[in-house]
Amino acid sequence: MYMNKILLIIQREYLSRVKKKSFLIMTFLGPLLFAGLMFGAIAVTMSDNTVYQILVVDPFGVVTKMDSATQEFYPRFPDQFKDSERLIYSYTQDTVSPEGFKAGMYSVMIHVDEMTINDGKCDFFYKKFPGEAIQRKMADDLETSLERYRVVDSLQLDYEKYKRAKISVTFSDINIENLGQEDKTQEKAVIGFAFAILIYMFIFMYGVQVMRGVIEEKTNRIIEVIVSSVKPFQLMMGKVIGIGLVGLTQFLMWVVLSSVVATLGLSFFAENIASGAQVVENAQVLSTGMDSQVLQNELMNNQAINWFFQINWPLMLSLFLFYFIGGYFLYASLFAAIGAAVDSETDTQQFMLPVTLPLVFGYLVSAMLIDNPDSAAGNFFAIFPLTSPVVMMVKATMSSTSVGMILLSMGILIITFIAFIALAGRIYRVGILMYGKKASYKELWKWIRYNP
Amino acid sequence: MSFINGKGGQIIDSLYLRAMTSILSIQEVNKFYSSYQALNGVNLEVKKGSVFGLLGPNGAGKTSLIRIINQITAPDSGVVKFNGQKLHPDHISKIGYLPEERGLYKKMKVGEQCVYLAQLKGLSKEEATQRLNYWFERFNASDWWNKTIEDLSKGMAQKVQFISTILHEPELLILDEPFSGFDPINAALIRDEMLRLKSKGATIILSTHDMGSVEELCDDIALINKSKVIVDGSVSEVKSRFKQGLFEVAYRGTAMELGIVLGPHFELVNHISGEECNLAQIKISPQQKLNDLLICLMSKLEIVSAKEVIPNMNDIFISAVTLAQQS
Repeated sequence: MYMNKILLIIQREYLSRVKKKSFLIMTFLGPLLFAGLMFGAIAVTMSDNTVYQILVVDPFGVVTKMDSATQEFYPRFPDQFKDSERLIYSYTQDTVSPEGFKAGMYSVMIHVDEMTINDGKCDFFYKKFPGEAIQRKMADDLETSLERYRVVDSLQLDYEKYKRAKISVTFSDINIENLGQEDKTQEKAVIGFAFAILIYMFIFMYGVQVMRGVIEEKTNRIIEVIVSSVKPFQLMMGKVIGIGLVGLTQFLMWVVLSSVVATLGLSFFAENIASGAQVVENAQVLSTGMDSQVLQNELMNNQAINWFFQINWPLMLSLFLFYFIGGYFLYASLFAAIGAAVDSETDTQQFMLPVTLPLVFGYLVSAMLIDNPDSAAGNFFAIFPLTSPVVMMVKATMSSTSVGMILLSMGILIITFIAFIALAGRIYRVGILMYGKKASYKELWKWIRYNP
Repeated sequence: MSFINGKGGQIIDSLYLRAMTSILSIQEVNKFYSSYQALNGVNLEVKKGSVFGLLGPNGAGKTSLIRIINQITAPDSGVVKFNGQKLHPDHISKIGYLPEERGLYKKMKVGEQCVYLAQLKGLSKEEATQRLNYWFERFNASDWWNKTIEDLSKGMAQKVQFISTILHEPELLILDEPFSGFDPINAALIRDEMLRLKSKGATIILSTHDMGSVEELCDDIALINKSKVIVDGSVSEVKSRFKQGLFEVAYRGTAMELGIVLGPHFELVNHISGEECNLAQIKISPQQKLNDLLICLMSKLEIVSAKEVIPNMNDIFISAVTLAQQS
C-alpha cells in the first residue's frame, strides 16, 4: 500500500507534466532549435561569398615594391599576398586618409606604418567586417612578409637558412598512466563540460519545478486533503521521482530526436559540406603554399574524430545518469523543503540563494577545469557532494582521475542525498501545514528537530 | 456478556457497549507545538452513526484534533481508537475529510482529480470511476468531468470537493465548515446528503461555527476552548445543563403588580409589555420549582402561559467560553 501510493503520486506528477503542451513543445523544439542553430551557423559561413577588395597601404615600402615599367605596386615577397576567390589585394605606397578609403572601392584597408614594422600593430579599416578566416589569412600574409623583411633587410640573413632554423613546437600530451596513447585532455574535457552543463540545467529546471509543485499544493490547500490520505514523505518522494522521470524522458527524447534530426540534416548537407570543405582546403593550399601532405596531417590531428573515439562513451553516459539522478535528488529535496517553507514563490528568494550558489559555483569550477585539469580545487569540488554532479562530469574525462576517486565521489553523493532527503522530509512535513508564517532558518531548524 | 451477573458484570457490560458503539474514542490526548499546548487531556467518544458537533472558538485546538484523527500528525501522549483499535494507517481509507480551506488542483481535470484522490484512499480506478459517474449524475454534474476547477464556479468546486470526500464511502466523515461558500439551495443539498449518509450508517464529525446547523443536525457535541474540552454530551443533555432556571410567563396585569408579587424571592430578568398580555422572563433559584413561581404569581395575576427558556447552542457557546475565560 505504501509503495502503491507513491506510485500513484509518481504517475500523476509524471503524466500531468508530460501531457502539458509546454513539455511537448520543449521536447520537439529543443533539438530542432539546437540543430537549427548548428546548421544555421554552417549555412551562414557557407553563404558568405563576399569578395573582399583589400588595399595594402605601405608608405615605407616594407612589403611592397613598384614596377618601374607599369608604375604599379606589387608584393615584395610574391609567396605572400596571393589573391584567392574571395580575396583580391591591391597595393599603394601613398598615404590614404580614412575619408579617402571611405569614398573608394575597397572593402578593407591595411595600414602598414612604423608601429607595424616595430611592434606588429596594424590599423585595419573595414566597411564590411571580414570573417575570422579572411582576417587570419591577411594577418598571416602580413606577418610573414614583415618577418621576411626583418630577416633579410634588418638582420642581413638568408631567408631560406632562417626558415630552416625556425621551429615551432606542439605538445602531444601523454599521460604516464596511459603510455602509447595520446591524450586529448582538453578536448575530452569540453565533452565533459557539455554534460556538466546539461546536468546543471536539468537540476535547475526540474528542481524548480519540484519547488513550484510543492508551493502550488500548499497555496491551493489541496495538501490537507492529500496528507490525510498519504504520508507527507510519500508525497514528497512521489513528486521528486515523478518530476525527475519527466527530466529523464525529456533528455532521452532529445537524444533520440537530435540524432534523427542530425542524421537527416547531415545527409542533406553532406554534399554541400564536402564540396565546401574541398574549396576551403584548396584555397588554403593555394594561399599558404603549404605542402598538401603537411596540411593533411594537421587536419587529421585537429579532427574531432580523433578524440571523439577516445572518449569512453558508455562510461560518460552512465556517469551522466548517475550524477544527474544523484544531483537531482539532492537538490530537488532541498527545493521541496524550500517550497514547503514558504507561502508563495516570491518568498523563496532568501532560501534559493544558498541552494543555487554551490550549483553555480560547480559550474564555474568545471569551466576552469578545462584549462587547469589537475588543480587541487577541481579535485575537491569533484568529491564535494553539492558540486560533484557538475564538476565530476569534467573531471571524469581526464585520465588523471582514478576510478577510486570517482567511486568516492559517488559514495559521498549517495550518502549526502539520502541525508538531504531525510532532512528535507522533516522540514517538508511541518512546512506544508504551516500557513501565513514566514519561516526563518531558526524556525526550519526547529522543524527538523520537531516530532510530529 | 449477559451471563456475568452482579455489579462487576454491569461495569464490564457498559465498557463493552461503549467500545462497541463508539467509532472514535479519544483518551487523554495531549499535543504540543514546541512550548505551546494545542490539546490538553482531551477525552471524547463519538458514537457510531451519530452526527458529532466539534465546536470551539478559532485557535481552540479543533484543527489539531482533526489532524490527529486523520493521522496527519500524532498525539504526544494519549490514545485514539477507531472502531476499538488503536489508530492505524489502514484506517485512513475509512475516513473522509473535508478541510475548511478547500483546495483542488486547478489545472487537473475534475474527473481525473476525483479518481486520483479516491485512489489515494485505496479505491481501484474502475471502482472510483464508476462511483464518480453515479455521484456526478446525482449532483447534475455529468458534464464537469473534463473541465478544470478553473472552469467551475466556487459553488461547483465545493460540490466536487464534497463528492471527492465521500467517494470512497468512509465510515467516518470529518466535515470542517461544510456549508461555507454554498448558497441556501446547495447548502440544503449538502445537508440532505449528510442525513442520507447518516441513515446509511456513516458517522459524521461536523466542525462548524454555524450553531443553527449544530442544533439541526448534531446528536452530540464537544466544545473545545483553549486546548481543553469544556462542554460535551448530547445536545439535549448539554442544553439542560445550561438551563438557568429561566421561565417565560405571559400574564394579564400590570408590571407594578408583578413586581410586588415577585418580591425578593424571584428575579425579573426581562419584561415586555403587550396589548393582549405582558411577557416576563423570571429567574428562579435552583432550590425553587416552577410551581413555586406559579403559586406566587397566581395569587395576584392571571397566567396566560408559562414555559421554561431553553438556551440555544449559540448562547451555550458564548456563556461556556466566557465562563472558561473568567475562570
